[in-house]
Order: sequence, then C-alpha cells, then structure tokens
Amino acid sequence: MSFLDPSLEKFFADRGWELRTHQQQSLNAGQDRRHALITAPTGSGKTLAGFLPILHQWVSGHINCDTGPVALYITPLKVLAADMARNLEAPCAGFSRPFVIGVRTGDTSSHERAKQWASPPALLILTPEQLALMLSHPRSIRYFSGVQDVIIDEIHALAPGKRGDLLALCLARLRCLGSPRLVGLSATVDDPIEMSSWMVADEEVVLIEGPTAALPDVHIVQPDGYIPWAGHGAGHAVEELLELIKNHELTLLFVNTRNHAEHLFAQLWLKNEQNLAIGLHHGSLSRTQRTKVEQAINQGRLQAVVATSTLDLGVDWGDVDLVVQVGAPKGSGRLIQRIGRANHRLEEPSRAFLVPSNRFEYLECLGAKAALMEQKSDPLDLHEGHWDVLCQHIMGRACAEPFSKDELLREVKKAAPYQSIDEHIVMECLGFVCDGGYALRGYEQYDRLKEVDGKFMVTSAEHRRRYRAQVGTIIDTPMVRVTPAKFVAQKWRPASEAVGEVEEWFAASLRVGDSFIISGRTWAFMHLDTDKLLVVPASGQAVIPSFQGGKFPLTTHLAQRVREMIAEPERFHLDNAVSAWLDMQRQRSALPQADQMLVETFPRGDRFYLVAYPFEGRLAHQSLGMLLTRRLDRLGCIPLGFCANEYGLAIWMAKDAGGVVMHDLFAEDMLGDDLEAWLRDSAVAKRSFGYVARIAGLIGGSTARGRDPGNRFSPELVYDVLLRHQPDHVLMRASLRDAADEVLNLARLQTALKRIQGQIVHKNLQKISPLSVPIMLEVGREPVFSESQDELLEQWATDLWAQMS
Amino acid sequence: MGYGLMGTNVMNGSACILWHGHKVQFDTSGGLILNDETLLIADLHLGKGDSLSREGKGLYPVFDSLDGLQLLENLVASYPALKRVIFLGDSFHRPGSAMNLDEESSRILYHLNSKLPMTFVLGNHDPFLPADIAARQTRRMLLDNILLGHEPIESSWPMICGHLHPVVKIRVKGRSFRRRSFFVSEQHLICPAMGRFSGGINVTDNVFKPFRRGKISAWLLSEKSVVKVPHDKWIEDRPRRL
Repeated sequence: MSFLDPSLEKFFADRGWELRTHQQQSLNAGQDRRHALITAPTGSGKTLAGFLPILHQWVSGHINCDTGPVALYITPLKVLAADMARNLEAPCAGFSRPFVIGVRTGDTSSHERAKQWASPPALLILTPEQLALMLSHPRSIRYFSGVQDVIIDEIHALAPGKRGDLLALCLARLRCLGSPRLVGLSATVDDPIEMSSWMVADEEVVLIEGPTAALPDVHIVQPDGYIPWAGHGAGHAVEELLELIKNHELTLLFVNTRNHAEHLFAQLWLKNEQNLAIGLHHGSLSRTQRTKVEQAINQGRLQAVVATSTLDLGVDWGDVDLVVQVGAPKGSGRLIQRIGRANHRLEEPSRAFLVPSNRFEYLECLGAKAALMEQKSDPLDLHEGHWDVLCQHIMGRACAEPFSKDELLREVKKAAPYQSIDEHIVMECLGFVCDGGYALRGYEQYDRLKEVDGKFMVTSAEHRRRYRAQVGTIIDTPMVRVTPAKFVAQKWRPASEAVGEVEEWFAASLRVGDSFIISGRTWAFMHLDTDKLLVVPASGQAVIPSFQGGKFPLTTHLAQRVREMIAEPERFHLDNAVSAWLDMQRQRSALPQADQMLVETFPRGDRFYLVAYPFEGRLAHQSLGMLLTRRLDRLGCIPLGFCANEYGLAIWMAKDAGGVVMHDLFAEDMLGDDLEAWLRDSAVAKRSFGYVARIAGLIGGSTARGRDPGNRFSPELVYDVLLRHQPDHVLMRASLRDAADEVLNLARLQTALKRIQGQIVHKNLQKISPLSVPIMLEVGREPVFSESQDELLEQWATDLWAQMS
Repeated sequence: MGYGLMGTNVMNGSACILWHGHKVQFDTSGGLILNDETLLIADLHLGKGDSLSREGKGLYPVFDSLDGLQLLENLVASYPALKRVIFLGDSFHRPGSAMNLDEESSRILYHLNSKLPMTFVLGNHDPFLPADIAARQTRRMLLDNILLGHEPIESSWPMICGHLHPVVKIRVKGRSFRRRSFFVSEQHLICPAMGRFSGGINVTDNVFKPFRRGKISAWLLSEKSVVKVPHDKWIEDRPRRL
C-alpha cells in the first residue's frame, strides 16, 4: 500500500471519496514502473486511475517538464481532448507546483503549437495523428525523452485498423526515445491479455480490473409482438419511441448509418405532435450544427438526440437516462459502449431499449442482450500491421533523424502489430520510401531518402513538408457543403452558413430541383458552386442522401448466438411473430443446428433460387456469392445474379440447382488459385490500391481532378500499369492483402467454410421458405454482381448488332 | 457528309467506318488508322509518372511510358501497310519529358522513329519538343483533306484530333461501364487518350457540346472489340444511388 501525497489525499477527502482498489493497483504499477492495462466500466474512476501515478510522481517532485512533457494522453477524438483537460483541472488544483495541461489537435493554432515546443506543458493531450506529426520533428528526440507515462484512452477503439498500426509504431518510437510506461484504458475488452500484448509485446503488462457495474436493464421493443419481415427502419415503432422519449430526461437514439439517422429523425418529427425537443447528430452535419446540438444537450434543452457512432465514445453528457439502439447492434462490444452512455453511476443499472427493424435483427438483439447480461464483449480483430502505414511511418522516422537499417528494424519490431514482420518486407517498404522501389528506376532527382554512410536521410525540406501535410490513415472522401441560398441579381448566392456536408459524388448525382434530407430538413438542389451545394428549403418526397460508411459487420460472436437461437428457439421463449415464423420454417423446411449451415433450393417465377445462411456478415457473403456463381456457372446452372445481406445470400439461376451436391459446391478449395487471379484483376483490389497508394505516399494530394483532361486520372490506372510491369511491388501486395481482408473478408469466409464442412443441410423445396423471405425481399434492390464485365459488354454489343442489322 | 459503317475485323476487333469518303479504322488500343496508311495517336502523355514524381506529387512508377510505347510498337507491327505515324498532341506530358525517358522506352521510340516517319502535332502539354526526337513538328496539318490537330476547332475541313480524352458510359444489365471511346460527329472525330495514366471526360460533358453536330456516336473500346454506342445509349456520370 502506497501513500498518497497530501494534496491528492485532500482531493479525495474533499469529495468524500476513497481510493478504490483499481486506483491503488494503478499507483502500485506506477511505483514499480510497470506498464498497465486498466479495464473498468464507465463511471468507476478509470481515467483518474490512469492519471494518479503521474500526478503522484509530479507532486512528490522528482520530475520536471523543462525539456518536454512528463506525460502524454492519447485520445481517439479531438472533442475528448478539451473535455479531458477540463476534467483534470480539479485534482490538479491543490498542487504546490502547477501541473500545466496542453491540448494539441488538428484545431490547435500554430502559435499554440510553437509555444508547446518552446515551453512544454507537464501533460500533453493529443490524437495519434498529432503524435505522429510531432515525432517527425527533429526536436521530438529531446522533447519526448523525459516522458514518464503515456496514457492511451479507449484503447480498444484505437487498436484495430490502420490507425492502430500508426499508433503502435509511434508508441514503439516513444519507447526508443526514452523509457515511458504505457497505460491503456478501456471500458470493454473481451480478452485483456490480447489487448495488453497489442500495447506492449516485449515487456510485461499489469492487468488491472475495476469494479463490475450493475447489469444493464435491457428491453426489446416489439409493438404488439410484431417485427417487420425486412427493412432497416423503425417506422413500426415510432409511437413507442416518442412515448419513451417523453418519459425520460434525455434519450440517446443510436443508429448505424447517417442515412438511418436522417430517416429516423424525419420519422420522429412527422409524428411528434407534442413537440418534444429532438436533435440530430452525425458526421455529415456541419461543425456549427453539431456544436449547437452539443450545447443544447449540455444546457438540458433537448429531450432526445438521434446519433451515429459520433457519440459512441466520449464526452460525458451526464443526464442521459435512456439509450435506444435502433437497428441491429452488430456486436456486443459496441452495444456495451453505447449503453454505457446512460447513467454514469456504477451501482445503478443503465436503461436501454433495442429496436430491431426486422426478424433477423430481432434475433441479433436477443443475442446481444444475452451477451450483455454475461458482460461478454466481442474479441478484438487484431492483425499483422499494414504495410502502407509502415511506409508512412518510415518517412516520418526519416524526417526526425537519419537511421540505419538495423535501427529501423529494431524500432519497427518493437510495435506489436509488426513484431513478427518479415525483414524483407520492412526493407521493401524502405525501398519504396527511398525511390519508389520500382524495378525500372527513374532518376535520383526525386528520391526522397538517400543513404549516406549506412544512414538513411531525407533529401530535401520539401519532402518533409509534404509528409507533414499528409500524415494519417483516414482517407477523406471529397465533400461539398450544403448551403442555403438566395437568388439575387440573376445568380444563386449563399444566404447563410452551411447546414451539412454530402459526398461530392452524391452532389454530382443531383439534378436541379431534386430534393434530399439533411439535418432533418428537406432541401431542393439549385446550383453546384465548386465546394458549395446551393439549396433552398423544399417539401414533399425526398431522396435520402446515401452516405457511405458506417456499415459495421455482424461480429462472429453475435453470429454464433443467432445460430444457437435458430437451432432451438424454444429455449429463448420468443413468443411473438418471430417464434411463429421460425415454427413455420421448421415445418416447411428445417431449422439448422448451431454448427450446421442450411441451404435451400426452390423455384419461383421463371427462376430457380439457392439461398444459404452462413451468418458471416455481408462482406463475406458477397465474396461467397462471387465464388459460388463461378462454380454454378461451370455446373451449367446459368447463375443470373445474387444478393447478400448480413445473414445469408440468395443466388438466382436459369436452371435448377436442386440436384447439385452441396458439399462439393461449398468445398473449401473454392478459395484456391483462381481466387488470387480473379482478385488481381478485380475492382476491389484497385480500390484498395487507391487507399494504400495515398497512405504510403505514392500519390499525393488529389491528382484525380482538374480542368485539363491531361491532368486527370485515377490511382487505379497506376494499379493497371504496375500489374503489368511489377505485380510483386510491395504496395501491390499490400493492396491485395487489404482487399482480401477488409473488402472481401476472406479470412472469415475461410473459417466459415471450414466450419461447415460435412455440416450442410440441403432442403430442396417446392416453394419459397419462411426463413428466406427477408433476403428474397432484398433481391432486385441490391446491385447484381457479375465478375466477367467484358463478357457482358460483348453480349451487349452482339445484341445491339442483331437489332441494327 | 455523313458516314457509313463498313464493318468490324474479327481478327483484332477493330471497327471500320467511312468518314468523309475515307476509311477510318478504330483499333481496340485507341489508335486510329486512316486509309490503311496513317496511324493517328492522341494524348500519349509519355513521362507522366516521371513528371508527377519530379513535381513532388508522389512517387509514381515510370512504367506508364514503357507501357504506352510497347502498345504503340504492337500496334505498328499489327498494321503492316502503315506508312507513317502522326501524334495528335500531348505526346509528352512535359516538353522535358522527352529527355527523361527510361532507357527501354527511349530505345522503342528510337526504333519506331527509324522504321516509320513520325510527325508530332504539338499539344498544350508539349508546346515544343527537342528536334532530335521530333524532327517533324507542327501545330496543325492537312492530310487527304482532313485537318489534324490537338484541340478540336471550328473549321471548314473535317477534323481529327485529341485533347478531350473522351470516355463513354453505358449501362448493361444494371451495371455501368465507363470506357475510353472515339467521339464521332459530322465534322469532328476525337480520339481517346493513349496515355496509361490518363483519365477521361464523359462524351455527355459540356466540353463536347460545340462538336455535337449532325449524326453523332461514340465507339467504346472494350478488351476484345470496338463497339458503336449510339447517342441515345450514352449516360451521364451519375454515380449510382445506393
């Protein structure tokens, strides 16, 4: 038991608090200079636990911030940064030595940044991108050498993906510059050991668990026991939702996409006869609009907010007493996080309602609820580090100071995602950063790095400047601002501030007069003025902007629970439209066991259908559909198209596939060599290459636009040319890996195919089955996939030819 | 004067039309063969990858020049009756690009130069070129009563040119295809860009408007053949609403 410094002791005493066990454990870990991972529910004083060691060290006077900060606090969102600075003021108030806190995000002024370099704060709060930026500065070597603690908040949200790779490389660099202790903070972690090994792979990490929270009080909304067959809205439950909002102080309604947010918001207001104060918050709204909503929440002027993942993490809204999840939760981890937004008192249960928008989602909600009761989160999806991020990091590393190959390797392997990376890959990435790494090398004039006496260094200040302008792994789609306009002096002119943003391609798809909804209002498109979409208020039917992104895949963990429910619905006492539906399915076809996969074949109209239910998420099903149609084609079934959703896929054919041996059709070897060949030529690999090329620095800025046709082109053309001349270029391989992993979800598909070997139940039916209805309703709405584009073109040409002659 | 279809070549997929009394053959690569003897190549943009890297816009591979020139080499080999090659401007992405070609690309260009007389029409990207590479250079020229130039202009002669990088978009069974194409109207025939790193402008775009007179069509380049796309089948660049 260590003793707290008197000023901190007073802070606790003033509030009538006692040092909690996990806070004490954190202090101990700090004293022993050991890394720590603190997992504790919201409201348990987790953040304070993370900070106590450094505050204690500070007040005991052994450290100072003359050369640089003593602690770094890394946060996933910049909105959290300012919030955190405010929250820390109270415990630091009684210190005899001021503990200065600095905040550095994309919004920080250059003046402020310069000040932070010259007179360092004791604590610097920043995002991973800002850390990467600072580390590329030669001054960073001395500046960060005295850092004692690096606190990483919401570590589970930062670790996966390319952003996590970048952070891991930065943390490794920090550990080479000094000897900081890493402290991870997280509310939801399924496997703390795995999480901690992401943080530090080569040293021991103390795992600290906080108190357990009261189990949440979760209800599933099913008005009169009815759940729609298909769809993604909450139209059937709007009245129930309004009733819930009326009876609570502040309700957060979470949806999965911005599109759904706008839609739900519009539906609520349509029936909002009591004028309940309902707001909207999502990433496409303008900064001012969002700030307005946030202020209204803080001042208690709103009763409900419809939000996307923008409010998943972060700022404490305090008074939220109800959380509603509309649509599929997709994963229990996200749901735990979202429900945690309500009621930050540990001992009281949080209240939450789930609103499934279709029958499969109902099962998913049930599964998520069960997972919540067991406090079971989703396993982390950690992977070997991406190579394009490594390229970016190497450039940043060179900007800071020259390095040798050995130094680079040592540092890179200190980052957990790269700890077992092949040495050759690191060298290829280095080769790319130096001169492009192309077999047909150009000229030395544009080499970014040169090797002098075994050390690699940047060739010009210009390359440093460019690197700094492009740091980060989040590739933004070009957006245009939606701005209300007036017709003045023969022209449409902006009349007020922008109300939101839409993707450029969406703006380009509008015709004058087309109306669409954004920030809850209907607008008619009038004029497109480079970066402004000029609009006027409108009424009537509107096209909903189809914002991209925000589609989370159903997690493996939840999928397993859904399969278990379908296998034995009786165990779950469903007692509603869903149980009747499953009963009928059992009579007409079959309910598969949890380890089985059901395949149904039946005729309908003039087509034959094959419907399979692997429950592996839309991406994996799309890939499966692509592969299955190739096989069915070879078997002579003449597949015409397919569509996939989160739960299964339907393929339609000109010939009956009832006689096909399903075990052969779904055999694992479909992921063989012709997949690789197909993937290389596919649009998905090209698209992945576009991202990889930007992150790695092959492409800078937006070369795709411009008035002169000679300057226009897309990165996909670089892919085509590289494919012909150097298909094994490190960025080509990187984009194939990304495509297989992120776009096609092949790893998950492979696991699924292995799982169902010998476990396929095939029902050859006379007509459509109850279970297939939801996906059959989607047939025709989804784009048809076909891999042989040029074959289609040829066919079209022949047909046209026949018509003409 | 209108134009008539003469047919397609089943061997190489090229298409032939009669335009102002001349035989005009569209090759799948984007090259145009006039009266069997003249190969017209537009917007090759040699050295674009190299230029972009030099300008510090990234680290582009320089394979685009080699790729474009290999294509040209194959094209010349597959039409043995050719007597000359005429480049319709923007053959090089920058005037200096000609000096900076990689060895293999330079070799191919030199070899072609020695085999067939080459004329370089100058474009906005290559307003002047070194004489050792482009012995014959001009802003515009008349050949068989057809005006050849880089940018389309109004003239009493029928004109074959480049500059606009035409592409056509069509929808086939719910899928859309956006491919390079020849743009053909009464007075203008605009060739697609041959450069490997060249994007394109949809033939429905307003920049084509002044040249959309008389009977118009686009000739889409697919991998195996050149397909005529009548005007009523063109669609604008309107991304699909999901």
